[in-house]
Amino acid sequence: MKNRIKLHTKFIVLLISVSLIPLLIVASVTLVRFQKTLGEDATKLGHQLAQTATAEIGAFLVSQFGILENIAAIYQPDFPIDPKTAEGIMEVILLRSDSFADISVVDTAGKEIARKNRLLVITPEDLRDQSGTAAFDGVRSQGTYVGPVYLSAGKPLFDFGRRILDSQGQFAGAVFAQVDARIMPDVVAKISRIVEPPGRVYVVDDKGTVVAYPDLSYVLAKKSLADLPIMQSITAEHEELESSVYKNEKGDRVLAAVHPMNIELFESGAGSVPAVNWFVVTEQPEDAVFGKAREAALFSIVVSILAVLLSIAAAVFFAGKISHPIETLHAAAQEFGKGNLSYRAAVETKDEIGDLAESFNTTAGALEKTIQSLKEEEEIVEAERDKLSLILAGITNAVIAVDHGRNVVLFNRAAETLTGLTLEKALGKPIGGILALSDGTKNIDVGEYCPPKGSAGEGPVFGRENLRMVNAKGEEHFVNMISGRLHGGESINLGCVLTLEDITREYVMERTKREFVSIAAHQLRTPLTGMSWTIEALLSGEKGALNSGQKELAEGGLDALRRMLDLVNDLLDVSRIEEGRFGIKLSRQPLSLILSRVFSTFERTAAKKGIEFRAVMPEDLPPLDFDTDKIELVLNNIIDNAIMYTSAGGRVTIGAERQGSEVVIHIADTGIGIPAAESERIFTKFFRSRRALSHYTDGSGLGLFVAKNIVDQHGGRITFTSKEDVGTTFSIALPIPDPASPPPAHMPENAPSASASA
Amino acid sequence: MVQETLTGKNLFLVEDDPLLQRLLTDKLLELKGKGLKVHAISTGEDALAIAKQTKPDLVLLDIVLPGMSGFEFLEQFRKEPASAKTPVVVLSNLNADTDKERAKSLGVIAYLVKANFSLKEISGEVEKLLLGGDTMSASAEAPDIKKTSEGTIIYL
Repeated sequence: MKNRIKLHTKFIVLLISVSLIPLLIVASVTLVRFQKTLGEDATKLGHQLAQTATAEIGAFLVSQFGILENIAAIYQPDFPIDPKTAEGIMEVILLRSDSFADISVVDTAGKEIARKNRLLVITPEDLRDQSGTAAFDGVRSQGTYVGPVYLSAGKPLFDFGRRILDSQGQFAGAVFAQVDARIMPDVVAKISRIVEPPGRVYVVDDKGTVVAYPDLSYVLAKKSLADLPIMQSITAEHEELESSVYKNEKGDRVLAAVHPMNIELFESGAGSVPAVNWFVVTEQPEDAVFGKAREAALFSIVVSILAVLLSIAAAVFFAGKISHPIETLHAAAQEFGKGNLSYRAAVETKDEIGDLAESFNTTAGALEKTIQSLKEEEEIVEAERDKLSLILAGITNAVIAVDHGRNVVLFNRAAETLTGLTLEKALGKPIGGILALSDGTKNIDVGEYCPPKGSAGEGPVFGRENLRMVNAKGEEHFVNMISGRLHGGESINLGCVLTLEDITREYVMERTKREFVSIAAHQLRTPLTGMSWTIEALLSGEKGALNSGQKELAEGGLDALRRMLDLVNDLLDVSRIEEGRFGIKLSRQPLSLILSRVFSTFERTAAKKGIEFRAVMPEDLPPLDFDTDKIELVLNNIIDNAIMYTSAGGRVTIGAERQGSEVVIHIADTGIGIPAAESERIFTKFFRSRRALSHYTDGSGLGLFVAKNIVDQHGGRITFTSKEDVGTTFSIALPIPDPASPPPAHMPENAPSASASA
Repeated sequence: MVQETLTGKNLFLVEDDPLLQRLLTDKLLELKGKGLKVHAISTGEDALAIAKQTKPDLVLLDIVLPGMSGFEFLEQFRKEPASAKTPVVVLSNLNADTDKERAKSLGVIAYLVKANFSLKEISGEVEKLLLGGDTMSASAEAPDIKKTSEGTIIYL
């Protein structure tokens, strides 16, 4: 939140600065310029008013001066008029004038020669000497005279005079009038009304003394306003548009302007003469002049304040607008951080932040979906695991899985029973310490049966049977072990899975049976050996010579004993075949040796029976991989049969030849043959052909069964063709090994069992 | 036959069955004329005791014996330095591969299944082994399987 406030504040300050500073600058500049313009306008107005005043007062003076000229014309020395008429005209002019109170004419010495008054009757005794007065001196030197205002009989008056020139233009006297001065206050009062009160317009002389003023008292009192700042302009050059702002003697703040009032009077014959050197001052109240500027300033201030307020409001609003989405995003990020991925950043703006929020939400949504699917997957995996555990628990075989470090990671119930360890004790332990297996001669490192990491393939890899183990409780068990690896086991650190089938019961039963068979064979053989050797000893004649009859009987007994021994051996072989213990120990060797040995074995027997016995063999047979003992047993069994079922004068032939990738051994006889109906059963256990039984009853019916099993285990085939009373040919086909392949390991310690001859 | 070579040679026949012992002894005594001394012994314990006085040149050993078995006898017998390498031939009607393997591990040079051999064949083998002398080198060879008319002698 700290960040948010900072950001918010920054936005506000930024927005206010951006919006207000130009506004205030513009407002200030505008205000200053406005004020200046107002000042200039007011000054212009002042001058205009001054000009108006000048014009009005000037016009009045000119008109009065014109009247005085008429009188001056009458009193010209050369003017042919009698004094009475002249006085009469002067009286008429006086009476017809609104402004004149008294008119008088003086001679060159200043003595009045004629005088008329609006109210009084003037007698010659009333005529005065005006030499030495300011008016006479003024007229004589200047040509005209305008005197100050004074009060007479309740009326403001001023003296106004002009000279009289003769026809030669020489000074010939003067004419004076007392002029009603109310015209001047009236003018300034009238003009003063144009300006806003307490503004005023008045006229001063060149010394700052008031000449005309709306209020007559200032004029009569000859009020000096020389101290006002505007009066400085009077003494200086008379610059137009001169103005200044000050507080006047009445305490009012005014904008004052001064304007010269130059009135020139025209004198016929002499031209223009200056009349007065006055100044019109206009004072306008500052408030009135700059009121608009103040209003404008006030307005500006109000507007500014409003603008400030608006700016702040706008800044707060827009800063909020800008920072709120960011804050929302921030809050959303925090929610996401807490794992609340279903939270959505509610940003509606159509800008980059809005886009960002949308991306944010999309990402969160995708993430949520992913997590959801992961959770679902996890649940599935969990369920699978539970299922697997359930299945594993139900399996009677011990199942143990180990990781790549050969440590137990999975251990089912059967494994607990087998090892005598609880799951808790087994988990994480090295497999070697849990399973102590031996194959009867040496201990087995179970770990070695776990396929190494990275080995290819999957499924069962190694299998060992009949392993002995002593578990944690000291119990002896026998197990078949299969180890395998799982596809993808690498990624879940699953090294391999060991399955152990507890075959203790079967093994013990098997062992008992095997021991029984072994012992039974031993127990059968021992008395047979005794009998056999006894008869042999008797026949040897050591204990006394036998007669021919006794010898014949003894030999018959010996023969029967040998058949008995053969049967015992055959039964033992069958027993082994059925148990799968009839081990074949292959070695690469030539066939010729064994064939010649077998041939020599039967040579005598065949000859005794009167049977032609032949062996036909090519020299260049390739060596074969076979178990000498077992193949010899096969050949013995088949040749034995061939001789047995062939009558005297018949023929038995042994041959061998190469046929493609096989070597085929043929044993052909000219015997009784095998009925076609029995050909399918010929290799079954204890089967004896009825035809054979009719000739010989003492066969075991096991020879061909044993033979077929041995040939099958060599990867070969045993077949026959037969025709009754014509003969039978058995063919034993053995595969020729690839000469490039290594010969099978020669294992002298596992020498084949001694087996009986046929 | 080289009669002199058997003179002074001692043969232990460890066989509990009285009939077989008698028949074998009689047959082997035919070799006596050639100077062989046959010790017919019925138990492994006796054989060990006698072996302390008389060093046999060859032992014919039955496996199924009262008291200690032929294998147990051999284990004790091989512990004595004097008899550690004495040639021993098993003569038994046991015929299991495991028995043969065990015999081999105990240094037996040949394993004969009694029932498969005639007395004559056995005595012939004994004579040959005693005269052959260098039986150890023979056992070092690849197994030489000799076929007789009646059975197979396995030289371990």
